[in-house]
Amino acid sequence: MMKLSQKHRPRCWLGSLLLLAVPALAQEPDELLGRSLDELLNIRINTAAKYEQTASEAPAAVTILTAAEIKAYGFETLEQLLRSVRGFYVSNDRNYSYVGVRGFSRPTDYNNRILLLLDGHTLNENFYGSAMIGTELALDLAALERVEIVRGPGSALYGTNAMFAVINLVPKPGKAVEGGELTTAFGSLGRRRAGLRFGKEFANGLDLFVAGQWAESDGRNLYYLEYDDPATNNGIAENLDWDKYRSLFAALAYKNLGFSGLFTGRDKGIPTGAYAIVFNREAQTSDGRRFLELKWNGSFDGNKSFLLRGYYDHYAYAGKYPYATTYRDLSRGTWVGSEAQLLWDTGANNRVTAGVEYQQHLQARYRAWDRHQTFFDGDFPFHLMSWYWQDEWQAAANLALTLGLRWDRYSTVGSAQAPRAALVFHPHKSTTLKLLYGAAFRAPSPWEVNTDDGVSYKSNPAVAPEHITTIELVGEQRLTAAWFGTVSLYQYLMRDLIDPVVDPLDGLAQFRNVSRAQAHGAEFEVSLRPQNGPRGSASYSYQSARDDSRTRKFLTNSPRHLAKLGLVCPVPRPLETALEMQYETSRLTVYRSRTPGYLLANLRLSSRAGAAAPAWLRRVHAAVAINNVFDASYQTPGGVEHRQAGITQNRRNYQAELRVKL
Amino acid sequence: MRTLLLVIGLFLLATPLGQAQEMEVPAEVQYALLHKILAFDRNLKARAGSELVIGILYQTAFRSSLSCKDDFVAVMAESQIDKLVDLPIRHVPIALTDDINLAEAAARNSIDIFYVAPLRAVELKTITAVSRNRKILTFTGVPAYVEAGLTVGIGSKGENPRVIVNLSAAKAEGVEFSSQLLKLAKVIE
Repeated sequence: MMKLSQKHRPRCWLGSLLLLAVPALAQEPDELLGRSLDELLNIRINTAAKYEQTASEAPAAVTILTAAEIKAYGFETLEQLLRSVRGFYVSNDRNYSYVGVRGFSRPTDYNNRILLLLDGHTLNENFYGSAMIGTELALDLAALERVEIVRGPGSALYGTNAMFAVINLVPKPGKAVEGGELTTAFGSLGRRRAGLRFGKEFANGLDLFVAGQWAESDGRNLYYLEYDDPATNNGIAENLDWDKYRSLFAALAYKNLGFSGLFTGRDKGIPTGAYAIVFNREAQTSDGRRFLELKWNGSFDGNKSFLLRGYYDHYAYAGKYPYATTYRDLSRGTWVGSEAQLLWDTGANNRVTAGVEYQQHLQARYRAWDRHQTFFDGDFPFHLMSWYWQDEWQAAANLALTLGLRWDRYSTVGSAQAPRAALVFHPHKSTTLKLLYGAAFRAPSPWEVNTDDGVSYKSNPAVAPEHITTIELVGEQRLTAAWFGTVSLYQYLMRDLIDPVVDPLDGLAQFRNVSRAQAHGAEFEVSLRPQNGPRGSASYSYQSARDDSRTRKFLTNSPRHLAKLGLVCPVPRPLETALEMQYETSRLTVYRSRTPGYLLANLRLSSRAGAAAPAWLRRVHAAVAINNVFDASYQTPGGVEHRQAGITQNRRNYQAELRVKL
Repeated sequence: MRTLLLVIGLFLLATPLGQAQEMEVPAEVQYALLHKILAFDRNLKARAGSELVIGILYQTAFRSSLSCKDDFVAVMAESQIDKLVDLPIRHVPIALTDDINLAEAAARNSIDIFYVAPLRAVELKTITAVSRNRKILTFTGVPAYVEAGLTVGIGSKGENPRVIVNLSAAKAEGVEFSSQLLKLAKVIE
């Protein structure tokens, strides 16, 4: 058994022991110090099993990013955060952001094979199944206590979309904030942002947290070789890469009851000429997402606890595309749902999780029109009934077996099942081995089943859910008091993949279960988390993802190698420096060309007022950042809607941020 | 309909133990705070004998519980403090098995304090019945257990630890904390 010496005791905890004797000496927690390895390993996550457990106990490969890291690296969007995570890579087509995991990222799939949660509430919307990770998510990441990233299939607990990962954004409780905090930021590309957060735990136990954010950026003029013609402004898109987004999140908790709500909106200009619109003409998309959720949890005795949730969700999209006349489209999704979950400890070594969930999708509408005619206007409400069951049995003190199964029945596209099995073995207190098997599915979205505009798409009522089966071996090893290592080997097979296929008879695209894909890969990561001094992580991922057909072609938008480094150093004192470096090899585009590999580096310098600093200084946090330090010219693949094979990303740019604790 | 209302009523009357049966602060912080908290107990000397015995209640078949016990034992072994209010401190791990007689184990070991690790499938009433009968202070790192009837727990507020005191449980266990502690703690009536 590992014993921790006095010197490894968490400083922030011990310092706060003074609270008992001299409350006046209570200090603001120094988030920039981050968490030691002990603290990080003891963080309890909820995502992998729907109940609290440490990452080492979870039946999955898990990454946790804390508020301290979000602050130190200055992540403003989930896209930026995921870019830094082992085995993840991102794309941006200057309209939406996309994430790839384990070598899989279909261009323009709207991240519908990832499940995104906010405190356990699904953020994927109901018409395209999209999970928004860029500015379209609009959420202020400073409002998060941590981000839990659970790799691999998660459908056994969560159902559709959870094919490659489940990402849970966990907001701060009010008691962790205790007051107000204001953020302002300015930077290149005409970026300006303001955020306000307030949290408090009242004497009666009521916990309140509110976070709001508003941001805009002007973007810059962009040059595209593919449009370099006098008729199309010599390839220059002027003042079209603008972005405006805002969000409001609120959460209330009182004893067993919890209430939360999210309202977001984003308007984005489209500078790329996508969908063969008139180049260098105003085009935009607007996305709005909101939900309200009420939940109750409690326990009757020492071995049974219940969770009841009820929720209302809404999604709204609108697009404006210039052709000879302006083409517009919109999507509307409205749904309500409820979930009842039982956690039953049948014995000290056995926990059963069982639940039932019902969703009524009142609206799943798509409309497309111009001033002359309506091309399509259809609403496709549906309902969904789900059952899930999971049993975690500790066969021995160091060996746990988890079995799970979920069954979903859609009123429209039939049913799908997802099993899961996991063996978690701790041969030593500092070592964890996990053997994981999981299957997951994605039900076809109303968009894929029903869209029939007579111009581009036709419907396919026969399209069925797609499936993935994954086998994974994970090793986690505590190397020293401050070093931690992770190795993950995986293989997956996807079948019945839903892809658009052009029917030669009419030239219309139709979504069909036509593709298969298989991949294998390996991920390695070491993390350094001493009590004091530099902290960070380095990772390398190898991923080989191919079409599972006779051609054995590599998948598009799938880099073979990813290498990442993140380092936070308390230098030059009294400042702190955060360095991110990400390298990836080339990716195949939809036009069978390749976007070159690239090395991206971001540098951020933050103020760090120590305990000896005056109180007013400890309430202020200033930071300056240089993104893309080496001014790399790099691209990420776009979808077939672009004439460009690769979409050029931002060159070197700057940002300054000021946070004030009110 | 009546059945539905009854079920809803039962839900609302349920104890708020919920799913959060987990510790929020590390064992070393809990132990350091236990020393400070005991100094505020006016009846400690009257209840304790010639030494202070901490009974660590845990489950061998539940990994988190076993790890918690191991951590707490390690922290006690490493601690420089071997006395409190002039009483030597000793610990006794007590594995909660199906056939254990907790009252008998507490009597045999002259337990003064129960440290309760995270537990599964255990009615806390079986512990509090013994602690209240034998005037044993109950202490835990699981905040939800204080709501459910243990006397003192350590939770967190932001990055800081927070002492939680269940006053009615304290009275039942013969514990009398000074107002100085109660001012700093989160008090549950």
